[in-house]
Amino acid sequence: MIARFHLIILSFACLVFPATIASAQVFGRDQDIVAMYLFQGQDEAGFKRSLSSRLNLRLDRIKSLLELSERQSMKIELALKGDLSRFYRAMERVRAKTKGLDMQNQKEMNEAWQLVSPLYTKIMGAGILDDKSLFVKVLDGALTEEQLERYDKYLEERRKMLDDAVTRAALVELEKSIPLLSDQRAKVIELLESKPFNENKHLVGVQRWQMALQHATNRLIALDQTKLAEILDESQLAAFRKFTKNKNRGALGW
Amino acid sequence: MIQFRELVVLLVFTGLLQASTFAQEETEAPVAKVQGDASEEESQDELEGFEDVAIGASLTDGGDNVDEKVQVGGGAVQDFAQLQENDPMGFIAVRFCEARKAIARRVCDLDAKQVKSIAALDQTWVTTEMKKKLNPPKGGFIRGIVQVLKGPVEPAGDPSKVLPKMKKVIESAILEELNEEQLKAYDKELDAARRFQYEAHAGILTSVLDRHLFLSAEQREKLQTAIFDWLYKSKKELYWQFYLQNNNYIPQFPSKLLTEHLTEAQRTALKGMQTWNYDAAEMEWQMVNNQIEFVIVDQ
Repeated sequence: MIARFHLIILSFACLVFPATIASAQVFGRDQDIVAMYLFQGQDEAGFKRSLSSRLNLRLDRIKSLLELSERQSMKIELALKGDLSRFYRAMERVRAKTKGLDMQNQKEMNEAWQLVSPLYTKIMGAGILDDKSLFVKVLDGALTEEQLERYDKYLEERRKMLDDAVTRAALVELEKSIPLLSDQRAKVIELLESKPFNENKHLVGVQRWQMALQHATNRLIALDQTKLAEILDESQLAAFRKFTKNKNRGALGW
Repeated sequence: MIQFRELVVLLVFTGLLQASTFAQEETEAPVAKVQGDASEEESQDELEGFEDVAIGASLTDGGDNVDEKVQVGGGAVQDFAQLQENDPMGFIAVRFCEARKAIARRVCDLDAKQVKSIAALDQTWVTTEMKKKLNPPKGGFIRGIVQVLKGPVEPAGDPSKVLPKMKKVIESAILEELNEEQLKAYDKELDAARRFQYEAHAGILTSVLDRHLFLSAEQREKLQTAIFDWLYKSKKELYWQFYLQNNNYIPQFPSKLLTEHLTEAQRTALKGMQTWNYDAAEMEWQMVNNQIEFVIVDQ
């Protein structure tokens, strides 16, 4: 009898509990808006720890790759610390300005977002060490020509890996409509790689990432159709021509 | 302690409850489930129109734009784009079927009977099979009991479940038509395509890690191989575009993979990241772009 009672209570609790959780997630004036948008579920110490460790990874890679002198290391480390401090100071300013804003009030919520969004974009986008950062400026000035070349080569390898992978993945997407045989695929890749691809070199940070698929699609569309005719059969070629007709074929919709 | 008799009564009761839920689901606008997100406000007329396209459509066999037209039910001709617009799941299943058929035609030396049988796996067949997957056969209270024992009921039209099932149905139907020699050639071709796909995806996911961790060239190479093995063995199809577009997300890599190839400092840096495996089946049907013309080979 008691067990049955427990069972009923348990069933009832299962029904009621989600509602209890939902009602606890009400945002109000006490909400730390900076934490809500930037910390991604971590506490402040955790957020700062992971941010700082990510930036230090970049520094460590540069140190090991370019065999920096002590003086160069010191300059670059100082610049990195400067960028971090600048970001944390901006974070505190925004925190002070957003304190007491009511997140249930649309107008105040918009106001809060206006203040937080530059920081959010920095974290989620190009990062704290963007082109305007002290780090990048000091790095450019502190490295020798030979070190800069080596660093550019390292960055170029990373870019190439992304571009090649995205171009291949875009071809996989195309193959959902126009499947290729292995030998055809190899020839199409050869054709794609025969043409140097520097289109998105100027893009940095998240902007570059977001455009990667669009550029890969453009790269496919721009394939030389005369050469393609030697690789594909008639039906594949006709479908490909139809595919390339639509100039709006963009980053995500296939 | 709950008596055995009481447990049976409880199961029978919940079984009946489940059975009545299934029955209700089957009578309540199954069409809305096909669409996935059809709102209740949509008029019945719109839903009925959609049902025609989703269930009764078939390819016409004439005209200049044969690939863009579908014959619906009693003979009304509609744009193929309508399937794309109204039934993205059906659209993806049809596209998958046509692509698989195209491979079979190219790698297997098909005889006339096989050509005919494979051609019969058309849009009508796909949409009919899909309907079966979306609306499981009616069940009584025994099915309800089994369902209770199995765990929570999955939504009938969940694309992340239905699309992989449909792809298996399509694959088996094609395989059934092939002889042993043809099967080998077909499998070999599909495996090459799968490897190419997973290599590309592994490259992207390695770049996603590299974006945050500044990997060495050696780490990149080893990680790409390890990620490829993980994807290939688990047949995991991730919606890679998501990780490309969202800076703070990475997939849920197996912890062994990260432990083996990353330094402690790199693993610490990943701790603040959001991890989630966005399944391609879950996402791709939502990304079907209605503004873009449907392209398919061999039509």
